[in-house]
Amino acid sequence: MAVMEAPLPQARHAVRWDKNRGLMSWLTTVDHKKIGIMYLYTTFFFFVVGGIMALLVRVQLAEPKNHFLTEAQYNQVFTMHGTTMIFLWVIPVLAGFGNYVVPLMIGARDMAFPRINALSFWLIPLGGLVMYSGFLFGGTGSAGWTGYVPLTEKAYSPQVGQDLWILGLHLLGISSMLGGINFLATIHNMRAKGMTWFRLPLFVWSVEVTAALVVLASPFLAGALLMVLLDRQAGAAFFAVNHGGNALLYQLMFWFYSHPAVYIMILPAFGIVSEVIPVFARKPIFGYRAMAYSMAVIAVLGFIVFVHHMFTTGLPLPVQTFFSATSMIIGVPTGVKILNWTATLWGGSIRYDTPMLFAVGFLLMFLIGGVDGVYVGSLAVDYALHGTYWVVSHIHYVLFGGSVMGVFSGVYYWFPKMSGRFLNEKLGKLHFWIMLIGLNLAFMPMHILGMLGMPRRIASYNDNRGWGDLNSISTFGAFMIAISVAIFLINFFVSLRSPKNAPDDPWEGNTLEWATTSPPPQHNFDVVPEVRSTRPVRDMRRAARPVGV
Amino acid sequence: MTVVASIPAFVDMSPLHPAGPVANHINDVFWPLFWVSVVVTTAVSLTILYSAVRFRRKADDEEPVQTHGNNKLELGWTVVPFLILISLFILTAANMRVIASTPSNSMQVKVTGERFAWVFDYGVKKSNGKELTTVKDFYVPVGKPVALQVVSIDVNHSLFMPNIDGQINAIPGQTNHIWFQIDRPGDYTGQCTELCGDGHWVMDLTVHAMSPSDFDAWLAKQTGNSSASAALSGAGGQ
Repeated sequence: MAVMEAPLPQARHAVRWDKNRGLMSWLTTVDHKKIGIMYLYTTFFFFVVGGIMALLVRVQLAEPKNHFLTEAQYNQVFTMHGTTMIFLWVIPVLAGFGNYVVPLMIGARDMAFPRINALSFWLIPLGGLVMYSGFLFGGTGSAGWTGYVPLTEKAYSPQVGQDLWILGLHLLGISSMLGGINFLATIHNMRAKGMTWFRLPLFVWSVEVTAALVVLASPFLAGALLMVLLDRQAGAAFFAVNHGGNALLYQLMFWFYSHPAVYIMILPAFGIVSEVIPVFARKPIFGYRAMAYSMAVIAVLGFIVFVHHMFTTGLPLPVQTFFSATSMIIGVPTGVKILNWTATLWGGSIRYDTPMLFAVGFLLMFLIGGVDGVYVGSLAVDYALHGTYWVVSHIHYVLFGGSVMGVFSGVYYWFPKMSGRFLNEKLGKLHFWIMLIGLNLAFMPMHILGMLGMPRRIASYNDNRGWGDLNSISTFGAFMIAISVAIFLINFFVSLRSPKNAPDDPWEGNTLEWATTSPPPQHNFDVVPEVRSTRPVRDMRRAARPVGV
Repeated sequence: MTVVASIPAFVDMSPLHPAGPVANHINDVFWPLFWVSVVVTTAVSLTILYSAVRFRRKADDEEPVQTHGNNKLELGWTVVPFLILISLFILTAANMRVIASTPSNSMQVKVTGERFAWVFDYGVKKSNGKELTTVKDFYVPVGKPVALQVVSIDVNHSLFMPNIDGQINAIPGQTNHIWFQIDRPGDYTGQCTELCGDGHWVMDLTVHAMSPSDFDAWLAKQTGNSSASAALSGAGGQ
């Protein structure tokens, strides 16, 4: 029968899959692993660019009345620093890990929608380039990463760079939403046999919750940005008070996205640390269900705390009081997580390879970022600290001390899986210690600056304020961070050229990515193992050993 | 008006050095929160560090006891943080009752934020019939509550007077309200804390808190009317 002639297209398929080397294979790939690696390269590139922006900011603020940058340049530079680090680094780098690791962890062949996955990735460099191209056209966006109206209205930010900033952010938002839908479809439908919800690795849980947040919240940012764009380019008046618009509306829409976005920026890092700590402590995660539930609770509560960014906008007292209460209570699930991670260390047999150093560093730094956030959740104290360097310190302890330490823990942890090679441990430890000290020197003085009343986003300050010395220390710390990142990059490129020395399961891992080769074949698994617990690879190791060992 | 003030060598903008009741109430929340957070952070950090060091792997270490959790412990460290945080919320809410209640005898001043200055309108007329306004310098009597109506004519600003009352945003299209009282005469510095453009960092202000008699004399001089203080709204309560 002619219908049975089918093998021909299949064979062609197989040939195409083998073509997985060379530039074109990267440009045209729909393989989640290659896409994940491209996410990581792209986002690390933007991390370095955003870091250069940060160094420019720190040089400008190192001493009072500095003229290193003009005010207009300063506003562009700090705007691009914030926007880059949030939308081109933290959010997509975590999505990059999700891309690489989630299908492997759940025993899937690929993401549910591989082509959409490729589109999600390619929108990121595009969005970044659109945003940064403002430098070629008389200046980028300069209204901060929050882009409040009316400052972003045409009358106050006439440069085309502000439009490019909006368009770039739109592209990144589309990328996020497509990625979110893809993660949900993958996790819901493509889990290996026996992988029930409560056998799902916590990293997958964190990506699931993050993806839900992305899908539910991002449309509000997209809407707000579209309204600004229409105001600027089409004569709309959503936010123009003289024409019946409302300036505060933007903040409500922006924060309805951007507070959940804070959890989008930290939950996958929770997930990474929840994988690393049990492996290196050789114990199961303490309170698996509590860890999963607490992420879900954080996601739900995350939608009803956003007004704490707006305590000083003159909203009615009962509204403010309600959101102050919820903002305090969201500290509870976060506290549970920190204590459960600590309890996982307790009684363990901990080995300190670099991934674990970063994980413990994450615990200590994120603790500070969690506690100093309670201050600005308290309505009364927020009146004094809102808009000051306290907030800058808080966001950096959460996003650098938390998310970035988590990212590096993940990089050192999964690099052997991705490349078949270890990163150099000596350089890794040097990277960790310089980064840990540098980040505290950079961000701890900002707490004190907040208590001394230094406003954020100021291009300079008078020398009679008493802020100079602390700013100098902070700048010194920022350069230490830069050195530590340089050490990491050297380590990365040197290790990539060294011989393949990593076994399939170098850390005695728990989750399915360690059940395949390093790096995994294009189809991920020759045989997908059946899952019987939260630690299938440990089960396999034990089954392979003689009884009693 | 021209007051040639010399630039002070040091300006104290710390919200933790309060100069009146509103700032005092903010500090009444800040300091308990501070000590609780110091104790919690220290205790948890030490526990993390102790566990991290004490349970290092030794050579040929056996797989440790595989503890999967402990419901009682976990319930404990859910309830305890909840109680701590709720207590801090109650402390906040209690102090907000004062912070958010403007006394009825307050002197009324309209504050306008505009790029890049603050304009203060005292609601009394000068001898030439115009409203008495000052720019960047704000004159108030000590011991007298002052209620501000804060507006903006361009972009968002934030009127941050850290020693006095924290801050309130100036947002176009709406009038925001805040009150304060200063108990010690002196000059207090404030600054805009909401990004408003290139000149954001120079958008500061000085609050001159004067004794009531000095303030009356200042007002009389500005208005050319020796009984101008009686014309201030809210003057009845002085």
